[in-house]
Parts: sequence; structure tokens; C-alpha cells
Amino acid sequence: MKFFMYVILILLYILLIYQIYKLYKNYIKYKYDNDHLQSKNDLRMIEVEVIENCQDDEIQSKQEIEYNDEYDFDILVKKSLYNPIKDSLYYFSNLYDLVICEHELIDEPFHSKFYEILIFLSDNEFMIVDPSSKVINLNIRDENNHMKTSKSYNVFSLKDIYEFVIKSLFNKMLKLKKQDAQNIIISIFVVLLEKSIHYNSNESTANMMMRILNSYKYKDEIMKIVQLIKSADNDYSFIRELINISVFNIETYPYNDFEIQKPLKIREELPQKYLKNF
Amino acid sequence: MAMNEIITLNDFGSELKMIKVPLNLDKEIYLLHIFEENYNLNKKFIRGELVLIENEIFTSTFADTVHFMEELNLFDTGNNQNKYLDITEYKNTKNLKLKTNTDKNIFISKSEAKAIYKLFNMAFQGYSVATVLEKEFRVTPQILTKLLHDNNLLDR
Repeated sequence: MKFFMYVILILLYILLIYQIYKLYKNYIKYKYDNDHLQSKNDLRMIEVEVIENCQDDEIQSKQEIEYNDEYDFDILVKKSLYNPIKDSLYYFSNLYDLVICEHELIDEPFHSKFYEILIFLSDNEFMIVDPSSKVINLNIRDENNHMKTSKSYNVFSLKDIYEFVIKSLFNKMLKLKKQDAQNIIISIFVVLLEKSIHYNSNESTANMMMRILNSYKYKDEIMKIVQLIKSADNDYSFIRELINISVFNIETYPYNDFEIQKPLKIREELPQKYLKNF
Repeated sequence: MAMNEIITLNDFGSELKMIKVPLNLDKEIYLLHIFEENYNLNKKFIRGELVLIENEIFTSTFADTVHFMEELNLFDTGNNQNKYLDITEYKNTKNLKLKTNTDKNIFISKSEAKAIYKLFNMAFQGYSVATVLEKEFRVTPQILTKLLHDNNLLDR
């Protein structure tokens, strides 16, 4: 009988210890959940604040709050970005992602100016004459039996060259400062635009370029870099080499000067930015 | 580029090809054959003939090309009513001079003219010629430029 009593007592002890352990476990879980919820709430508050203030460009610093990823949040960092697909910049959406998202050159006013350049290049067809192309004169009878003469030659698309040069610029693994990289990207555009021709030759490319750069903050720096790229033997001459190399790596297009000229297309306002996961 | 917007060389479902036939390599005179290939009938139909001299498309229609070849064939029996060739004389030897828009002078001797005419006639062997008279493919500057580009004739 005594032995039986002992067994019951031991069993009771074990039950008691198990209950205490269960209580402790619940307490730990409750504490963890509480902390989690609070930090989640904090983040929501921050996001709401960001959304409220996203119209102002001064918010950039506030947006770049770093969150520590202790828990698996469903909230990610959001930044106001343009939407190239929506603005029918199908050709440049990769380049935009590369420059703005991958290399984080998101600072204003560069971000907007870069996007403006992409829109300008996408809306208008600029081309550079292939230096190794043959020029063939065509004497062709048209449908009214009149003899028409025109010239045909190969051209490069400015879009292709710009994309190639910027991509190979980042591939060179250069350690550039953010500000320098931004200025170089815009000055490459200026250098290429000066070399190119457009169907409508009423306006010179220099004028178009000045129209785009007119209000830009770092205009003088860019013009200095453009001069450096053009002159030989300095730190920037590798960009000219990149432009020369690009000619061997991209496709040529046929061009005939008998084509109807298209007027220059310039959008008055930049499209709207959207908050996107970064 | 604007060239992407024009139609590909596809005439009523049949694909047209172009071949460069050299008529005289020294003077860079070529015949551009535009033809259609029908694999079911195992036949080739000529759809257009153009003459390319150096950097210039000289004639663009079949009628003009035949006219040019006949002037070559006549050689010195031709006269100043010739459309494409002038008759010149140098050291008592008669030559033909091409009437080009460029400053370059291209002279064709009698033997060269005969050879070109012979090659022109040989170029039709194996092709059906009647089609080119019935439904000739008339090139436009844009289509011809695309054809030249696709056949690497614009590369130096």
C-alpha cells in the first residue's frame, strides 16, 4: 500500500512540473507576439508617413530608413519610382532597372532627368551613320513613272548605342562616386546626341540638348565632362573607347533619305511616380 | 528605325529573294536578280531585274534593264539618242561612257560590252521569264534599301 502511495506522489510531482513548464512556455510566446506586433505597428506608421509625404522630394532621406530584418515582415521598403512599361518605354525598361534600381542612382534631380532623356530617346528616332557603310544612289521609277533619286546607307540607332555604352560602363566595375556616375551617364547622352542626326533637321541637336539640360543643377559639370570625353588622353577617354567599341557590337539598320520626315516629339510633363517595392 | 515599319519582301504569300550576278568585276557592274522560288513546282520565276554599277542603282525596272542591255549590244552603231551610254572616241578606238549622276567616268570597251550582254542572256537560264513581264515586282526606295541591307550589299 505504501509503495502505491509513493508512486502516486511521484506522478503528481511530474504533473506539477509539466504544468509549470507549460505556463512558462505560454508566457514566452505571449511576450514574443507582443513585441512582434508592436514593431509591425511601428513600421506601418512609418509607411503611412512615407506615403503621406511622398509628394515632396525632400522625403528621400526619410524613405531610406533601414529596417532590421529580424522577423519575416510582409512590408518592404517602398520608393517612388517611374513605371517605364506604363509610359511605353518598353525598350528602356531594362536600362532603367539597371541604373535606378540595381545601382541605386535614385537621387533627385538625376532620377527625373535620366527618365526625361529615356522618354526623349524613345519618342524620337535618332541615328548615327555607320562609318563603314556604302552609300548607294538609287534611281527608281515611282508609281507615276517619274524617276526619283535617293541615297541608301546603314545607320545605327542611338538607343542601342546608349544602352550598350551604359551597360558596359557598369560592367567595367569602376568605383565611381554616385554623383560622378550620374554626371557621366548624362554626359554620354550629350556626346552621342551631338553625333546623331534626326529626320527633321530644322532644329540642331545642340538646341535639343540645351533644352533638356537647361534647368539641370549640374549642367556646368556635365559640359566639362563632355569636353573631357571629346579631348584625348585623360581619365574620361575610356568612354570614347566604349562608344567606338559599341559600333562593332550592335546591329545596323537600313536607311533611305527618301523617307518622310517626322517632327520632333517632346512631352511637356514628366509622368507620375509610383510607390514601388525597392 | 523607320525601316522596321515597312513590309517584308513578301509578295502575295511568296517569298522573294535577291541575288547579285557579276557582269563585269573590273567596272563593278552587277545584275540584281529578284526571283521567286516555288518548291512545289520546283521552278524559279524572275520577278525583277536591276543593274547596279559601282554605288548606283542604274535601272530599276525590267524594261529599263533590257533597254540598257540593247544599247550595250548596239555599241558604236548606237547614236546620241542613247539614254544610258555615250559613244566616245579615244585614239581611233570607240568606247562607251556611262551617263552617271556621279563625277566618276566609267568607260566600257567593245569586248566588255559583248561579254556583259552575253552574261545577261545567260543569267536567265533555268528561270521562268514570262512572269516578269506579267507581274513584275516594282521596288520602292524603302523596299530596295531593306533588300540591299538584308543581302549585305550596303556593307563595304
